Amino acid sequence: MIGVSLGLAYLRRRPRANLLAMLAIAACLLPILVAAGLKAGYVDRMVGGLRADPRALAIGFRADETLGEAELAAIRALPGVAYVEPLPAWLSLSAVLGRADGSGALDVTLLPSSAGDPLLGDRAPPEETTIVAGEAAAGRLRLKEGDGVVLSRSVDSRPEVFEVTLTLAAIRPATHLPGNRLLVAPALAREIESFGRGFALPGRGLAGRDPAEERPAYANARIFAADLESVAPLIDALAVFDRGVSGDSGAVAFALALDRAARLLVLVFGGALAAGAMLSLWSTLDLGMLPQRRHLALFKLMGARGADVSAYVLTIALGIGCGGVVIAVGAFHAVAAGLDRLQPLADAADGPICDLSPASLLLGAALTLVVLAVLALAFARRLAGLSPAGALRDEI
Amino acid sequence: MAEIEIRDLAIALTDGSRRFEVKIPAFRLGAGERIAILGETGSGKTTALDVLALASPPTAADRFVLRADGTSIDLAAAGGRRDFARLRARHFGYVLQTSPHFPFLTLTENAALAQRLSGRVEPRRVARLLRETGIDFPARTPVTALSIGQRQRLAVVRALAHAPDFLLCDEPTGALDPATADRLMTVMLAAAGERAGVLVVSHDAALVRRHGFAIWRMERESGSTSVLRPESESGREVQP
Repeated sequence: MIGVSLGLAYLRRRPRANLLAMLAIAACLLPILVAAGLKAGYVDRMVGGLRADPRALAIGFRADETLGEAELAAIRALPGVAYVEPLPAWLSLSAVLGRADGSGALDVTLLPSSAGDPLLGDRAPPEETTIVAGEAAAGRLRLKEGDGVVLSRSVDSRPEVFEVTLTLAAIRPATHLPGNRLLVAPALAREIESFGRGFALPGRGLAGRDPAEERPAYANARIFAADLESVAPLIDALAVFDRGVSGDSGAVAFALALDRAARLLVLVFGGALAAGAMLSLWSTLDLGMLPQRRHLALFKLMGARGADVSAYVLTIALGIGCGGVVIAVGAFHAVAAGLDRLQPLADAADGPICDLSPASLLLGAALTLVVLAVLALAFARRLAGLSPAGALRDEI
Repeated sequence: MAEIEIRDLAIALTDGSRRFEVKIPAFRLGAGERIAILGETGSGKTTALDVLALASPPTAADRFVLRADGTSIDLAAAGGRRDFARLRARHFGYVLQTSPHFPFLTLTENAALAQRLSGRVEPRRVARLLRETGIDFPARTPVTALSIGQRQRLAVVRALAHAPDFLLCDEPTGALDPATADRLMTVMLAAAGERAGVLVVSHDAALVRRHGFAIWRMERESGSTSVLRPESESGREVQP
């Protein structure tokens, strides 16, 4: 314990020199924290937001042209494809949605959807008697989940009206299903398609052209990539169909590139500055301890053990290291608060732009102190091994 | 009462192809005894003190014994550095030519260091020794405020604060003017009292003779061997 109390006295009685050493370490740690904070607060949030938004994974063909089963199979077989749902050939798959009591009427766009559709999130896919609506559509008709609704469709060329009573099974947030869009079962979408093209729907008591004459065809497809990293390669792969491909590849590619750059920056910058912090501590110990070699040799001659000398050095190193970490964390909070006031960046971020969780800060501080302690132990070994006989000689 | 006894002890040092040997045929330091080792620079005085101070082990010894507290410890057979460290803390005090003090400790904290290492913490003894050696400063005075002579007296206080059985001094007055050196020696011997055996390595024969030390001489027997003998057996009279 005498080594620890000596070390504490050293820390207490040399405040200016030790504060300078702490500031030197903090000066190395602060840029690491700010870089990591910007990555976690700005880049990770942006990438996280994209990852949480299935629309970022959506890809489609710009032109509506006949899409056969063979082409659909080829699309499904492409690497990085998570979900493919063909869209009917009828260009505008629209209908009118109203409340079951007959009140309200809203023009809606229908999207065929089945199991695995990323827009469903954790909700079950729509069946022939259910639909899934977006917040906006549900809000306009003051609908809640479980309510009955009526979906109707009429065309100028037919006197009949296609009308079906359904249940609103789920309401999805506007981020997933914006505007007046409904997710419907593919079979229901096909029925509305057939009705629009003038075919009879015997099951619904609607007369028309012979259904046997109908040749099912698709004009486009809802395609979703498996993850953000697959979006750009998938867009490239879909180019072989020569229809023009739409997708949010620019934003995704920018976010991913920013993420990679930020990670590299934190690693390289952090590594260099961590080495700087270590060198700073080493030089502090060198400057502070080497003039004490003879003191420590006498200390050993007086009966101190090598462990006492090591404890002395370790206490000083950890004291300076802790001080440096505390100063760096305090300065980080100040810098983070300042960065959050920078309007252009703050506008782009949905939260603090420079942010590290307390757990991350604690982990970083603990890792820093462990590294500094290992360094201090290596230094302490040199002094702990001093021969007590050295005290009797002036040359050390 | 404590004593160190040596018979036919040898310390061999090698430096590349060169070999240097110090021999101590017979030596004894008991309670209250005062012995001074004199010799030319480079004759091996400090090497002998290394071993007598338990700072390094001898190369060979027929007998190297420490008797204290009613027990006898065979130092030639005693093992490792840890044993030596414990014995040094308990039984020895050291004063060097320029005794370093930790600059960040106060005068009193430096004085009490050996007490803490030996486990014999006794603040009143430290205060008394400081008073007796004429270091009349507030307890929290930094050591950097002391003169060289005062620092040497503080080193004496530190060396004797834990009531050691032996006080080993390596040219303790070497950096002082004659008057200050004389005063330090007087103060040191008074503080050591009759309990501690005092061994001094010195170049100042007159000083140690004046203070009643028995003179031992480190003499070169051949180019590479020195032998420590009482002055009466050395064949050379030390000039006062």
